[in-house]
Amino acid sequence: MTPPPAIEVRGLSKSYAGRTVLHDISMTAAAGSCTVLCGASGSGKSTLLRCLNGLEHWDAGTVRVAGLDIAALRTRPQRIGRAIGMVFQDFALFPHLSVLDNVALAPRRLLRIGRDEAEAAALGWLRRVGLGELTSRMPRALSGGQQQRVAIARALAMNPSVLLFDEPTSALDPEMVGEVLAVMRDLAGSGITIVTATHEMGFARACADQVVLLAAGRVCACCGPEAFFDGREAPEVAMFLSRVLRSGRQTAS
Amino acid sequence: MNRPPPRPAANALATWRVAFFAGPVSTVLTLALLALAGWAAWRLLDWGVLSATWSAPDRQACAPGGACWAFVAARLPQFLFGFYPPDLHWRPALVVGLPVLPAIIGAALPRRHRALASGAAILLTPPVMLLVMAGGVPGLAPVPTERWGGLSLTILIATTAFVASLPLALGLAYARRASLPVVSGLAAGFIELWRGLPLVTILFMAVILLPLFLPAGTRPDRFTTAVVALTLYNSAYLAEVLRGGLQSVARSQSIAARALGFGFWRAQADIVLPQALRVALPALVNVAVALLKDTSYVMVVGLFDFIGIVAAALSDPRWMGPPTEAYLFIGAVYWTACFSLSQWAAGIERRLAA
Repeated sequence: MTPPPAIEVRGLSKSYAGRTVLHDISMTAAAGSCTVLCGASGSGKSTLLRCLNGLEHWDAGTVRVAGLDIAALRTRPQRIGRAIGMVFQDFALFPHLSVLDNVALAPRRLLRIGRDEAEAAALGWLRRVGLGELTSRMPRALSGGQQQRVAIARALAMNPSVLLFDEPTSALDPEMVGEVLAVMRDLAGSGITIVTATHEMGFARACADQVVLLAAGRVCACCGPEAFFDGREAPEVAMFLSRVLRSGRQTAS
Repeated sequence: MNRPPPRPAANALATWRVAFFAGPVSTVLTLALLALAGWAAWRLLDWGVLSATWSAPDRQACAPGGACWAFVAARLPQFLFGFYPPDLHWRPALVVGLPVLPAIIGAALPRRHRALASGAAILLTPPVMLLVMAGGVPGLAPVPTERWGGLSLTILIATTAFVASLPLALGLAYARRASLPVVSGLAAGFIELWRGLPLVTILFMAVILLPLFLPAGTRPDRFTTAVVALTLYNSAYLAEVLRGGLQSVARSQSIAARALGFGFWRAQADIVLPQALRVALPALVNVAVALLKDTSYVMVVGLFDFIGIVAAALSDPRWMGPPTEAYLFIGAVYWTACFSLSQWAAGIERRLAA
């Protein structure tokens, strides 16, 4: 008997102001797997991710993540926050808190862990993302890549079993993309379930267990990376790949 | 035309020479203005200090051509403490000094306890002040509000009204941002009502209207009336200042907090409000300074605040004369209080920026 999937989306549809944002999306992701969501901007990647942890309402369909019925728990963010972490394109660090406090705040306040214990754990997470030296800095004193790595540590500090990334490298200068991808590669295969929206095809090729291509709110392709990069899965895949690969946004992975 | 870039002056002296003694006209003007300023300063010093009388039984005994500070000196206890029993003057004196306590706590404590401790100190200051003034507990003889007055009353009213309007204003700011139109509409209406009325009108109406809402025969005392009116008036301004602060916090902060598992109020307390208050701090100080000065309107309800009591003393036949010294004294005291307030806030801003 196979374990239940960590993520199970059935018939998810959402429209906003008369426009269909997501149309009948169904997908699953196995526990510990890494899923890459790709597609042009406006294709619904971010909205789908935000449905996975209940940041968005939707019209029809069910979303189960980490064993939780997300629709039923929308009014209880704390339950969702314990199970699902999220990393944003613009980092969204708390600017009034030091790096260490950014990471330790949620465990202290939401898991009621004592200050010393939470800070020790936060230091551990910061070391894991390679920032053990910068704990007392304020976020604004950090580079974009460092800020994003703090944001990853902040999400990890709640010990989630699922981690969502919403275009984590899109707001970064090119030379900082690598350090964030390195952390993500380290996490992929560590047991945590990852879903990431990204244009980094190198990362997808190296780390993804499945690649999902969205276009206009529909799933065009959902397959393993080999089949995906073959381009024979669907005509949209070949078109998408030719656009992305030609744009030269490929980053070494 | 090709001119060389201006060379920076070698030192301060050179900068001054260029700025003030560049040519004959500039030199003459500089010297003339210096002479004028020096003469004015000398006249002021002569009137205010050298030829001034510091102690005299009445104005007739004051030397002409100099300030009659004897008037201020003779009436100083009354200016500070009103009609408070003289043997209990330490109590209003404590009230005057008490606002310094939150400032000291904020500066002295280590960073991690600072915000909570200063917040608690600010919220506790008015109740402690009221207890010290009113008494009525073992060890503190009761003193009725009719005997309160002077600078201690001004500081008591301003502090109490400001702190009391803080929670009210915060509630109004959140209500005005609420998505429910009834809630935001009511909050907006409340704010517009009190902000649109002149304070003098509010105080007059409070005297007439407040008794109508109370059981027959009971009269609210003047002090309570004044504090309630000032609190309502001030909360309208404060609410808009706080709303501005809340609006300055990026929406992504709330979203990130929610994704971590913070509920709405937890996110406000830990993440949104600390950022909003930082942004709002300069405007908050503005409101506090304005309130401190507006407190003088409580004369309308028959209270003798600092200005009221000094003005009343001027009609004493023994001290009849030009009110110059009295108003200079009032100005100096108010300016010192407001400047201290803004220095305190500047200190907070510096510490937050560090």
